[in-house]
Amino acid sequence: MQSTNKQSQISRWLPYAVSIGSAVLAVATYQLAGLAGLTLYDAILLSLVLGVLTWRESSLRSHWPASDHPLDLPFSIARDEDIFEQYQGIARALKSISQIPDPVFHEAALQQIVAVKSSLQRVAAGTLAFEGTESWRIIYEALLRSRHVFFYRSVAWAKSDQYWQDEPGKQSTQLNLQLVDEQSLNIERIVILNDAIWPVDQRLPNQPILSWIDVHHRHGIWIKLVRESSIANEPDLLGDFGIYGSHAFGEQILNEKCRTIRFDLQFNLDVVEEAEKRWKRLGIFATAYRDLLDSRR
Amino acid sequence: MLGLLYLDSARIGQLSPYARQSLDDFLDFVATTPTHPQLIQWLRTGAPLPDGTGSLSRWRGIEAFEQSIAKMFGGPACSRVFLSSRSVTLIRLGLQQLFKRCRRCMTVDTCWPRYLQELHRASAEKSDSVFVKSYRRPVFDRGVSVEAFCENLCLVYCSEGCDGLFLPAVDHMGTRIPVARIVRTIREFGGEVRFVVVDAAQALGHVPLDDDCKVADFLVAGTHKWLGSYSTLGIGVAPQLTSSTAIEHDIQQALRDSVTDDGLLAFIEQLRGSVGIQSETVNLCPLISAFGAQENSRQPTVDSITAQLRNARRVIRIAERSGWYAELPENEYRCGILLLQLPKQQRQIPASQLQQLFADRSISLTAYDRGLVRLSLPVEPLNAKALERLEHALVAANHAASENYESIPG
Repeated sequence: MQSTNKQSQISRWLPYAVSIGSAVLAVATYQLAGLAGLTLYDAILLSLVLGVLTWRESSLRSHWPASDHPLDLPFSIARDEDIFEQYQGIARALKSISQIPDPVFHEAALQQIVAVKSSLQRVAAGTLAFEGTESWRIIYEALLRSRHVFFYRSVAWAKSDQYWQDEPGKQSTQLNLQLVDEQSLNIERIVILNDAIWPVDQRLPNQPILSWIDVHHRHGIWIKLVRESSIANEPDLLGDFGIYGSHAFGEQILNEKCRTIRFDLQFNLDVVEEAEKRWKRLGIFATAYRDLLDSRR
Repeated sequence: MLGLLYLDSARIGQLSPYARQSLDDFLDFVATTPTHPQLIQWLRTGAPLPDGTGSLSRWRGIEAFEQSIAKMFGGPACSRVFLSSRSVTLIRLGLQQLFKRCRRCMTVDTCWPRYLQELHRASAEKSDSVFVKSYRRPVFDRGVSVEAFCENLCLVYCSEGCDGLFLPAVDHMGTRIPVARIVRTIREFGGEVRFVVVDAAQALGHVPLDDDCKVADFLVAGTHKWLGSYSTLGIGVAPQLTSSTAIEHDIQQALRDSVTDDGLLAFIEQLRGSVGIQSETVNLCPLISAFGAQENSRQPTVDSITAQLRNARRVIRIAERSGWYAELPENEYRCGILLLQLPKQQRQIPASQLQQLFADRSISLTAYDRGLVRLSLPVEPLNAKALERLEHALVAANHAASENYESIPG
C-alpha cells in the first residue's frame, strides 16, 4: 500500500520535475553556447522525445493485436451499432467511476468491474450463462427457430417423473412439437431415466413421463431411452444437454425437483464436436422407443 | 380384326370390366343428381342410394373400402390408408416422414427417376442426405444372388451411416427388390432402420406385398397399372401401428396448413371426420373406378407369379427364335415383367418405331430406345394364337431394326 502511494506521488511530480530540469538546461546551454547551441539542444531534445514516443508506441502495439489496440478498439466495434452503443455506455460509466476520488469506493468498484469483465470475457468466448432463472428458454426458443439450425439433438436426464411437467417445461415441449410439425426443425431426443421411473423389470417407463415420451413419438420425433444404471460406468454421459445444429451446445443443471439451477450455452465448434461424440456414445446404450413398442407386439 | 394383346400393365393397365361398370353406374347417377344430398352419406357409410345405382350398391363406405385396400396390400386390418388424386402426393408426404426421423436415406439406382428427384428434394430441405446404391449392375450384369446382394447392401448401409430406406418393391424394369429381406438383414447386423418408404407402383396387383407390409412404414401405389382402374388414384398404406398414428397426424396437419393441396386427399380425410380440413369439390371418378377394379382384382400369390413366369418362358423361347434375347436377373428377382432386347448392332431403331411395329399387330407393350421392349405378362396362359402373333411381331421388329441399322451411313 505504502509503495503504491509513493509511486503515485512520484508520477504526479515527475512531469513538473522533467520540465523544470529541461528548462534550466536550456538556459544554461544558451548562456554557454549562445543561440546556435540552444538550437542544437532543442533539436537533440526533440529527436530524443520522438524516439521515446516511437519506442513506447511500438512496445504498446506489440502487446495487442492490430484491432485490439486501445485507439483502434472503438473503430473496430463501431461497425456493430448495438454493441457500440453499449461500449459507449460502459466507457462513460467507467469514466464516471474513475472521477469519484474516494479510495474505498475505488477499490470496491474495481472488484465489481473485474467481475463484470470476467463475465464479458466468458461471453466473448461464446458462453452464455443463466443462473436460477427460466429466462434461458427465451434464447433456447430463438435458437430452435433460427434459420441456421435444422437439427436439434437433445439429451433429457429425467431424475424424477416431473421432468418438464411444470408450466415452462410444457411450453418448451409444445415448442418442440410445433417446430417439428411445421417441418422447420428435425429433433432427436435421448431420455436418461432414473431406474425408479423405468424399473428394470418393466418394458416401458412409468407415467407421467411415459406420456411425455409418447407424445414425441406421435409427432414423429425419434426418441430413445436409456436407464441411468446402464451408463453408471460412463458418468460423463449423464447430463441434460442439447446440440443445436453445429452452432451451439447447451447444458442444463437441474435440482432434484427438475428445476433449472443453471443453463450454459456455448457457441463454440470444438465444444459442439465434443458434444457430438458424447451423443454418439450415449446412443449406443439407448434403445429406440419405437423398438420398445414393437417388442410389445 | 385382331383382338388386342395387352402386355402393357406396367405402364397403364387396361380398364377392368368391373371398374368400367362402376364408372358407368356412377356417371349415370351423377348425370342427373351431381350433388344428391345422400351422396356424402353413401360415400361415408354406404347408406343406400336411390334405386338403379347398380354396382354402387356394393359400396360399404369409405372405411370398408380402405380396409379392402389394406387387405389387397397384405397389410393388417389396423393399417391406416390414405387416398389421393396422385401417388406422387403421397410419395412426398411419405418422404417428409422419412426425413423427420432419418438423417441419411439409402435407395437404389433403379428407383423411378421422378421419385428419386423427390427424394433428393426432400432430403435437401432438411439438410439430410441420400445414398444411391447400385442395383442394376450387380443384379443384371453380375448375376449377384439375393442373399449376396442383401449382405452387400447391409454392409454399405451401415458403413455409410444410413438410417432409413426408400425402395421400390418392383422397379420399372421389372426387378423384384427384396425389401423385407433387406430390412431384416440390416437389423440382424445391428444397423438402425428408423423408417421405410416403399414405392409399390409396379407391385400392387402384381406381386404379394404382405412381407413388405411387415417392415415398411409407408407403401405408396397407384391404381392405374396392374389393378386396372385406369384412373391415377394414389393409395398410401401405413401398416405399422407404431408409426401410423404419427403419419396420420402429419398428413392431416399438412392438409390443414395447405402444405399439400391434393383435393381428393382432403376430401377423404374430411369425410372420415378429421377436423379443420377445408372441404373440397373433387372428381370422384378415380375413387369409383378404383372401387370397381379392386372388387374384380385377384390377390397376387406365389402361384400367380409362377404362372406369369411360365408365360415368360414361352415368350423367351419364341423371342430367341426371332433373334431377340431376354434380360434376365436371377429367378428370385423375377416377376411378371419381362424385358426383351435386340442384338447390339440393331439397337438404333427409335422407340416410337418399335412401339408402332407391335401396335400394328394389335400388341400393346412399352418400347424403349436401344431396342428394348417391356412386356407385362398375364397370369392366364398365353394361347398359341397370341404367341404366334407375338412371334410375328418380334420377327418383323427384328427385321425393321436390321434395315434401320443398314440404312445408317458409315
